Formats: sequence, structure tokens, C-alpha cells
Amino acid sequence: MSNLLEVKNLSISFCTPYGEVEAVRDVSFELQEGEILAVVGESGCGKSVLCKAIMKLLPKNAKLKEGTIKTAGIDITAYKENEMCRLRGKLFSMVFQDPMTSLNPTIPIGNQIAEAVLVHNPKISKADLNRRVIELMELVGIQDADNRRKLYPYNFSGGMRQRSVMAMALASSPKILFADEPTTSLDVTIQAQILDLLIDVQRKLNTATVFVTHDLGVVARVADRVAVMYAGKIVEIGTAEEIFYDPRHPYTWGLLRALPAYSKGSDRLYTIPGTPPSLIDPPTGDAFASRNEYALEIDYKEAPPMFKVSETHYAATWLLSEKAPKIASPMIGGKHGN
Amino acid sequence: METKTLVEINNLTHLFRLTKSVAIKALSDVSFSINQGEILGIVGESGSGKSTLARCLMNIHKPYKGEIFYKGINICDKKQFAANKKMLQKNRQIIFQDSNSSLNQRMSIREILAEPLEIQKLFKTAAEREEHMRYHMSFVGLEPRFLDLYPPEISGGQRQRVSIARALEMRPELLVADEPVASLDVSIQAQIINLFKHLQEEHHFTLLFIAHDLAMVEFLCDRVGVMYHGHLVELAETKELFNNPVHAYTKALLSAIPVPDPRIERGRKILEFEGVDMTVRHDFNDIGNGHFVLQDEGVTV
Amino acid sequence: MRINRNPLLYITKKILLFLVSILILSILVFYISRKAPGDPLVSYYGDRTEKMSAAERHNTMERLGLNDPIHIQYIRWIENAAKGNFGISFKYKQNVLEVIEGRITNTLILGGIGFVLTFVFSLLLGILCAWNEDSLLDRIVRQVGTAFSCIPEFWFALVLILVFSVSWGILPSSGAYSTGMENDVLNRIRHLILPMAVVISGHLWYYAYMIRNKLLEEVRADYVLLAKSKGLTKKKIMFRHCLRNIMPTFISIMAISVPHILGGTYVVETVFSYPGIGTLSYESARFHDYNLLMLLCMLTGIVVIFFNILGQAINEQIDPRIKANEAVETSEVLSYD
Repeated sequence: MSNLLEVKNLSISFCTPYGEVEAVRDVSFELQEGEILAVVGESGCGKSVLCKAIMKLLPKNAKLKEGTIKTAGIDITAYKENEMCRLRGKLFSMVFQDPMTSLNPTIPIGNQIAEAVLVHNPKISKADLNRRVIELMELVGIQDADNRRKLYPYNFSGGMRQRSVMAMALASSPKILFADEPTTSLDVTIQAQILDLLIDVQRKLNTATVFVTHDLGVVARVADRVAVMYAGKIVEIGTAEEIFYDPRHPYTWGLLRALPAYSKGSDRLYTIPGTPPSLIDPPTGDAFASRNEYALEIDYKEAPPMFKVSETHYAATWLLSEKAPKIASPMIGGKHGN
Repeated sequence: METKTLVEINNLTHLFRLTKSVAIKALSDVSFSINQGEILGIVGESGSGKSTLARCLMNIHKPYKGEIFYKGINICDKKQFAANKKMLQKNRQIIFQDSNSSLNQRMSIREILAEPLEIQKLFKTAAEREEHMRYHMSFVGLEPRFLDLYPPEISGGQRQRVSIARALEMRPELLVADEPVASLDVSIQAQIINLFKHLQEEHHFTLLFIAHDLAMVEFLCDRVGVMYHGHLVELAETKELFNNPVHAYTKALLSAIPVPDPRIERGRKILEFEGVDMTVRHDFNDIGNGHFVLQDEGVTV
Repeated sequence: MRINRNPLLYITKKILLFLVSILILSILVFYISRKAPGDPLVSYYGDRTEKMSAAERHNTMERLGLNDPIHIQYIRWIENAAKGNFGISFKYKQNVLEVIEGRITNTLILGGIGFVLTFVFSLLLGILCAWNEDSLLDRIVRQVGTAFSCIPEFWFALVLILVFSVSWGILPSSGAYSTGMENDVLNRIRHLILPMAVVISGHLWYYAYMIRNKLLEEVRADYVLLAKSKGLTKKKIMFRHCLRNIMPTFISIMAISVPHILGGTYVVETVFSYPGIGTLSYESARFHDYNLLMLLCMLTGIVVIFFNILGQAINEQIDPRIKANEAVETSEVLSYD
């Protein structure tokens, strides 16, 4: 199967008054047709920047320093704004974190969805357009669509707004959907509904999805593959099973162990010591070294490459090097041990 | 060990008036008590009245109906409140969700911490006060050098810890934490939850922990109350509630918690909650072992 | 929707506020003008006043009703004003309404066209600057705007006269038209250029800057990102989304700006001796032409207060905070029903 999206050695920097922030550093990954790839990490790790960089939605002070982005075999790295406009919505589109602010408050929901349809299909007749809008609203589970399309965003609850945003994102049947923390600001019950909707839509339309989140529970529900990001880099990537049942990177261990589910029965939650490094002048070597209880000497000198664990599973830690001492994963005997 | 009641809430109802004729019932007929030394969790979705409850407890909102007794003092009664104002203000402290907006950006951490101490006149000399502030900074895991910084200069997790230090330095008996970890990253959440555990074990604090993250609540709390549309629908010991939920809403809520395990999570069905008619009269019944459920009037177990 | 809850009450309140403001204004102007030092007879008799005897003076004052206590004069004035009689102008010896009639068109031309052009230009400039944020143009506009907000209008007017009329002699420096060429449109336009330039340049930058900032606020909103990811072009986003969303604000700014631009017009008229209401007000105040001054102040006051109240009302209706609160209210009311 051919890769729908191929990102190679991508580095993105922001110019700020305090210096150059290296938000994404040397990131490579592929996305296949119809799969859901979850990108996990703490705030500021660059997961959201990565998605916006691919769609070229970053503010002007962001710079693509290095790397290539290929979609469906076409190199779009150097694409200009007008070329991107033709791709956005049709090839890929995006759902954002806060449905409260991502809709224009002064335009009825139906018109905003219609606008998304019209962008790539300007000659559609009025009747067809209306039919398509209602069809999209029904696809994302908004009942009574014919009446509701005339309502304004403030008439809608958070969950309904997120459904509307999804309808807009899916209007031109994109091949790739970027979902940037789409359920973070919603209640758990609504979150569950939106996640199920996302999986449902992905199955129906065979849309490949990049799902950005910090919630590993959500990842477990939706993801086929998982990429873990730390300090602008992908530190581990693999299938959901590999990441959850056989994680190799100490940071992934830390993330999983900090969850209450892994500390059941014990008195304290596990915490990762220290704080993430500043990305203005990231440390040499492995950025995670100073917080890593398993850090080796080489971690402070040289950044680890991606070591191959299996055909689908890679991790950037020197612990996987042949010369490294063998360390048993602290995950064994974690959740499943008791 | 004998449990002593610290706070007792009777039939608390609170309305927000929109206009003269329209009002929203944010709390309706909520009754429960908080025991001394326990961590009581309150969960529910946004708009269920959790925060309103916290604010009524702290005298930020004046309830429309009902009574709140703090150690036998009716804090909704103007006279009783005024007579015990100093004690009440010192012994009850609150931590808000968003330390970004609840700390004044133009005050240094030192000024933020010193202000309540000054108001309560807890110390005679500045040196004593400084010592006290330093102690509490280190208690929440912040170095004393942070005292000279301003809120925008530190990270969200550190700010939240400043909020906690500000509340703890008053040596409160009751700490109300309104979504204290919701805006923080997983690893920092864990640090703060551990801190709360430590506080309860070592200093016998009573904590009302309001959250929507049920996994955290399950880990931290002794008892849990579930709120739905202004009603307290279920209240029980944590294990009992998570293993044996009775109210339909609680069941739906618990089923929606994502489990960080793909094999379990993918196949799991999430229960739907259709909603219940809240206009009919309900009773908050004890179905045994301090497990309370809101049931239609007349239903007995 | 506050206004929809009880529109009648809302409008009544505003009208009452308007009337009370006008009443207070009339009392203040009446009192201050009469208390101000100076001789009202000068405007009536000119130089002859100096030669008048005390008795003559007394009689004349009596005849003009200027000897009565101020409150009696005021009541008399307001009684007459209610009947539509605003008295005669001391200087022109004509009904004040007739005096103003000849001038008001000139002011409306200068102020009206100035107002429209100010807003057309500021909207264009605002969009251009927001579109090219931080470009050379944007920076220049910001600098020029700051400079112009520090320059007094009369000074700038004098500079223009010096350059275009005195040194180069290509544009007339005063009046609304050359003698005998009242109906020559071209001639009138030539006379309008300099005063218009001052009126516009005094306000243009400030409003352009305001529109630019409002637009940029919208451009940075999250919904723009969504619109972009839908595939909309920058142009469509700017005009269909952002511009549309700032329109209410823009209109309220326009309403509030009427008094400012009007005030600016008065100064400009005086400097250019442009025969409009502004010059007339200045003269009437200087020569204690009481009746004329009263009417002019009332006219100006009505316009200023009306547009202030209108601007305020528009603002109250579109205040995003009110809207946001309503949104919460509706959703919560629904969820608790």
C-alpha cells in the first residue's frame, strides 16, 4: 500500500523575541490510507505544530528549516499559499481543540458547512448544496438537520459544535483528517460519543486520521498506530499494541506509569522527575536524559537514532543499542501484574 | 476510628437569575456531609453545578435556599457568619482550576503569598512570615527563589503549586479544590495528586476534590459524589461506587472513562444515558453502607 | 437580546436621556455666554457702541431684554424657542434661522463628504494594513498616524495654506467659492480641497488603525484557522468572515466619530474662513451674538449627543460579552428545561 503522507526529517522553528524555538526537530513518519495515527505528548512537545506545519497553517514567524512533506506521492514542501488552498479541504482538513472558538459566531452553522462544500465544488446547484449540507450533518450525527442548519453556533452545545466542525472538515471528502485534541475540552460522555463518531466516519469514508492528544485512554480507543513526541521529536512509534504492551522508550514508560490506572493498589502515582527542556536552546544529546532514571553517559553527548524494534516499531533511546546494559522494562508487572 | 462531620449541607439550592422572570437552577436540593480528614470527590460534567457547590461552601455565592453548617456554624446565616468570620476565612481555603487567571499577574509570588497572612495578621514580624512562606514553598516543591518571580514567568504546573501553597499556608482545615489538575499535563497532575495524598495522610486535611477526570478521582478519593444537572445523584465510598454504580447516569459516566489499554478499550461499549425527568420529586435514599442514590419518590430497596 | 425584551422601554429611556442632556446643555450655554465678559451691543451697533451714553445703553439693553435676570431671560428664550422663534441675530439683524440657512449647506458639504471619505479611506487603509501586517506600508501608516495625532489641525491647515496657496499659488486659501462663482462646481471643489484634506487627515489614521487592529483580532481567531483548513482563500476569509464580523463595530465607531469630525470641521472652517456653521459659531461667540450662539450650540449639541447615544446604543447591542453571556444563558436554559 502506498503512503498517503510521508514526512521526512521535518524541522520547524519559531522566531520569537526570546530566540529561535525549535518546536519540531527532525521528525519523520508515514501515514497509510485509512489508518488512525495518534500523536501523543505533553503540552509544548510540538504535536500540534506538526499537523499545522503539514497543512501550512502556522503563523508567519514559523519557518520550515529542513525536510520534505509528500502527500500521495507529490512533494508539497515548497507549495505556495494558493496551491495549498486547492489542497486544503480536499486532500486534508483539520478539526481543532476548542469548538467554542473555532466556528464563526456570526454565521449560521449550515452556511458555514455550505461554504466548505462550495470551496471545491463552486458550481453545485442550490438544491444539491442543501442536500449535501443535510447529508453531512446527518453523517456526523446531528439530528433534525434541516431545521438545525439555520441555527448559530451559540445555540449549539460543545459536542454539537464539534460535530459541526467535523461536518465542515469532511465536506470535500478529504483523504487525511488532522484532529488536534478534538475532545479535550468536552465532557467524558460527549468525548466518548465524538470518538466513536470519528472511528465510524473513518470506517465509512476510509479517511486516514492523524489524532493529536495527550490522553492515553483516548489513544487506546481510536489509534491503530501511536507516535510519542517529546521536546519536538518523535521518540517512539509503533502499533497501539506495541506502544501499550511493549513500550521501549523511558519517556513512554513514564507517561504510562503516571496514569492512575497503572498505580491501582499503590499509594502514590508515578511521576516523571523534572520538567521538559526549553526548546529555545535544546540540550545536546537526548533531550529526555536529565529526567531519565535509566540515562546512559552517551545520552548527554549524542542524540540517539531511531532503533528498530520490529518492522513497525521504532524507538529513539540508547537503551536499545547493542552496547547498552540490558534493562528490564518497569512496565512489566505494572497494570497487568495486579 | 470515629468519623466526625466537618461540613453538613442540607437541601442546598442555588439559582442564577438571568432576568426577573428567568432563573437557572444550578443546584437543587443537595444534601450531604463531609467528614473530617477525608477526601471527598465530586464528579459531573460541565454545568452540573460542581463549581457552584464549591463556591457556596466558600461563601462566594449566597445560596438561594438550604443551609451549610461548618462545625455547627450556619455559614449562610449572616449573623453567625459575621461572628465567626475570621475563623471561617482562615480555615476554609479554595484552589481554582485556572491559576493563570486566579493569580494576579502583577504581583510577585511573595506578595501573593504574603497578602492573606497580612489580612489574617498571623505573624508579628516580617521575618517570621518570610520563614513561613519559604516553608510552604518547599512543601509544594518550589524553591525559595520563585518568591521573587511573577506568575507569567513560571510554568502552569508551578503556578498551580503556588495556588496550593497560598491555600495551605493558612493551615486550613478544609481545602476545596475546583478542578485543580484539569489544565495540567499528565506527569504534573501526578505530582499534585501525590501532594494531596501526602497532605491527607500527614496533616489530616479535609479535601473536597472537584474533577471531571474519573480515573484521578478513583485513585485519590475516599468517597465520591456524582452530580447531574444540579442534583447529587449518587454518593458512596469510592470502591463501592466504581464497582457497583446504581444510578443510570453514574453507570453511563463510568462507562465513558477511557481505559489506557487498546485491547480492552476498542471493544468496550459505552452506555448511553437518556436523561431522566428531573421535575418529578426524588428522594436521596441510603441503600446501605452509606451508599446514597437519588431515586424516584416511593422507590425502596 | 436586551432590546428585544422591552424595546419600548429601552427607546424611551434613550430619548429621555437625550432630552435631558439637551436641556442641561441649553442652560449651561445660556448661562455661560451671558456671564462671559464682553459687550453684546458691539455686535449690534459696531463701533457706535463706544459713543453711546449710559442712558442710551440702558435703553438698548432694555429693548433687547438683556437687563432682566438670567433665569427670566432663559425662560423667555425657551418659551419662544418652543414656538420656533429663536430671535434675531444682533450682528446680521436677521432671524437667526435665516442666517444659518445660508451657511449650513457649506458645512454639510465639507463635514459630510469629509466624513464619508474618512471612513472609505480608513476602511481601505485598514484592510490593506491588516492584509499586509508588518509590511512597509503598515509600518508607515502606523508612524504617520502617530505623527498626525500629535499635530494640531489648525497648524496643519496653516502649513497647507503656506505651501499650496502662498508658495505655489495653485489652490485658494479661503472661502467656499470665488466671488461671483457660486454655481461653478469646479471652483467650489478647488476651494474644498485644502479644508477637506485637513478634515480627513486629522481622523483618517486613527480610524484606519482601529480597523486594522480589529481585523487582525479577527484574523487571529480560531475560526479563521478552521476556514483556512476548509480550503478558503485568504481573500474570502478576509471579506466573508473577518470584515463581516467587524462591521457592527465599524458602524458604532462611525456613529461615535460624528461629533469628533464635526468638531474638526469647525476648527478647519475658522482657519480657512470657510463660510459654514463653524465660522459662524466662532464669530457669534466672540461678538456675543446671543441668539445665534444659542441656536448654533443647540444644533451642534443635538447632533453630538444624538450620535453619542446612538453609538452607545449600537455598542450595547453588539458587545461581544453580552452576546457571549446570552449564548451561555440559552444553552443552560435549554439544558435545564
